[in-house]
Amino acid sequence: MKILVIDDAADARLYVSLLLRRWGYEVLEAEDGHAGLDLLLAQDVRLVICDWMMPGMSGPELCRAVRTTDLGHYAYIILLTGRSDSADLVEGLNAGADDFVTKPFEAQVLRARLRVGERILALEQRLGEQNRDLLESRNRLAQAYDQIQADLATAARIQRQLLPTSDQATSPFRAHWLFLPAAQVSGDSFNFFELTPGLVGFYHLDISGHGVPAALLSVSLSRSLVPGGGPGTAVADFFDPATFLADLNRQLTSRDGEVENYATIAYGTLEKHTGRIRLALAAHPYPLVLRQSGRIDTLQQGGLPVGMFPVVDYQAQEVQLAPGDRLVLYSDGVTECRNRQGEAFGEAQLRASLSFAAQTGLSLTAVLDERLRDWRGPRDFEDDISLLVLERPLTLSGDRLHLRLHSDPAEVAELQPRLLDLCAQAGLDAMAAFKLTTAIVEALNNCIEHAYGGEPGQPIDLEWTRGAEAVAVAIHDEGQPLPARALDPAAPASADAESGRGWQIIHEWTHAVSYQRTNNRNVLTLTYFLS
Amino acid sequence: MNLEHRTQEGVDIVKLPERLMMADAAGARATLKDIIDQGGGKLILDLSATSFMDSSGLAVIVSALQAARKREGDVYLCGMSNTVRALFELTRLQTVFQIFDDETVARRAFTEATASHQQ
Repeated sequence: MKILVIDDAADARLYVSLLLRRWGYEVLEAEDGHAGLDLLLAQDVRLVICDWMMPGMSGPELCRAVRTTDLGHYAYIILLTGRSDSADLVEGLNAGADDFVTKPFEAQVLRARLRVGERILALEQRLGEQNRDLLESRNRLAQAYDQIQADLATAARIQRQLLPTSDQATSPFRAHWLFLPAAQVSGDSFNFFELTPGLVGFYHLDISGHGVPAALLSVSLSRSLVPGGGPGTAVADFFDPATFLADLNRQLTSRDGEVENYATIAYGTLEKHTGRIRLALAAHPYPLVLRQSGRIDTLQQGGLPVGMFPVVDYQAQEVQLAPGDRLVLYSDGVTECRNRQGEAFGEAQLRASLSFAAQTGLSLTAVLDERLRDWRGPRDFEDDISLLVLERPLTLSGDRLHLRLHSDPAEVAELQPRLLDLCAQAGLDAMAAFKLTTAIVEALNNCIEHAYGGEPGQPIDLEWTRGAEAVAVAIHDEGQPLPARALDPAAPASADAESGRGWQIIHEWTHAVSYQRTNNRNVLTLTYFLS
Repeated sequence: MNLEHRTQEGVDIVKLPERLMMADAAGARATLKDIIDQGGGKLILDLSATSFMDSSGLAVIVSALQAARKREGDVYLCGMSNTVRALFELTRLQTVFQIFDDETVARRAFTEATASHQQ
């Protein structure tokens, strides 16, 4: 260990140097403070014994100089002083001295104090090394973090590429979507694809959790959720929504009963010619149907999540999309999106957004995008937000006619030739016109008989919409709800039964029938495709 | 409801109107029942003027058949247009009624049926 001895008195220096050399130290000498400082800067010497009283730079002044100089390491300074006033001691310590030895000193006392200094220097050395290690670790972490961020960005890009790019597969129906992942990568996904020329399969999926594990499962599921995507994905497996979910569930549940990953999913099929949708749900938020009139219907909830229990039965439900209707599938990230105050966006606002879009004709996904972002504020989304909308277009090139009638068979009779005319104008041949007209007449009869119980003079509104592909006739009334059996398209039990043919005619002689009841109004919509 | 009606060789022949719908149903049903009750139970319904019918119209014709059968008679239909025919076929009524091209053929059928019945 090197020691620097600074003393202007040569004999004193010599005496201390001899002692130090005997103790095994390597001694450097300086006559004054400046020389001492130079030596400290030039060499790696960390122990200093310095006299207090020196011409030029005093001991305390040297201390101050050392403390304000960056030597790259600590220098332990012991001042030798003949002074023992506590005031002096305080001044010396404050100037930066680590310790004192008063002259004349006992050699062993000096030696002991030097050892203290060595301990402290050893401590400082260790601290220095630890700091260097920490810095290195921190740098490595920063690099690793940057790498992870870069990987996530790439993963997010890949995941986005798996989303549909166009809604060509649903044509002439339209599909729209909103995709706002929480942490770059998402556990939500959705897709739609052609099963047969007239049949589209679609799904909306929400995997538990988010971030990388959810995203990985989402990507691997995407392959088994597309016909031809891998083993066990023959097109035939996709036709029945209920069995499709049951199969998917079996695939996802592990044999030992551990719930590794689960998901909620809505899977369904869409018949393009009729607008008929069959849908099965596995604990997914209940889908909404936004009708062309602006009314919102709610589909039933149901089913257990896939991936939780090995054997689950799923139920399919049906809904009919008439021209202008939209099916809305969404993940719970939408309704549970929280603002700064911790309030959830909620279903009410979701419905209000749907209504707003219907009234203004603005894009539903654009409206929700804006509203959700506003709601959330500048922070990232906490949970993935995704929405899939399937729309049956109401072709704009249509004729529209609104007729107000009353619940009088005579008015219906008078209307009948006019209906035939409208059919002819729409390009229907005689037989088709007869069929559609008869179906409409039956529907009006039904209004009178069942909705209004035969009571005359009640309002019935008929909306005739002729689009490029189809004619849609919506019949509105404010009567009693239709009982379920009244909507039964099955024929009466015996051919010569007195009555009961009306619904059979309505169903057989149109291409689609839908019935909604909201706000104490019935709306029966008949659709006839123009070939 | 006033329906064009005549009798020939013991058979009632009624020409149904251009439209037979809910508005006309009750009246037509009553009129036909009267004709069947007062006649011999053999009725030909001529639909050659009928271009439109709905399920209430069908019900009228079915109830006429039931009334006729109670009198051991029958109701034959004739002169049906394509469109009305389609309605009958949709509702399988063509399996219940005898349907003829025109009134003459229908009358002959009644005559033959009566003859074989008498034998």
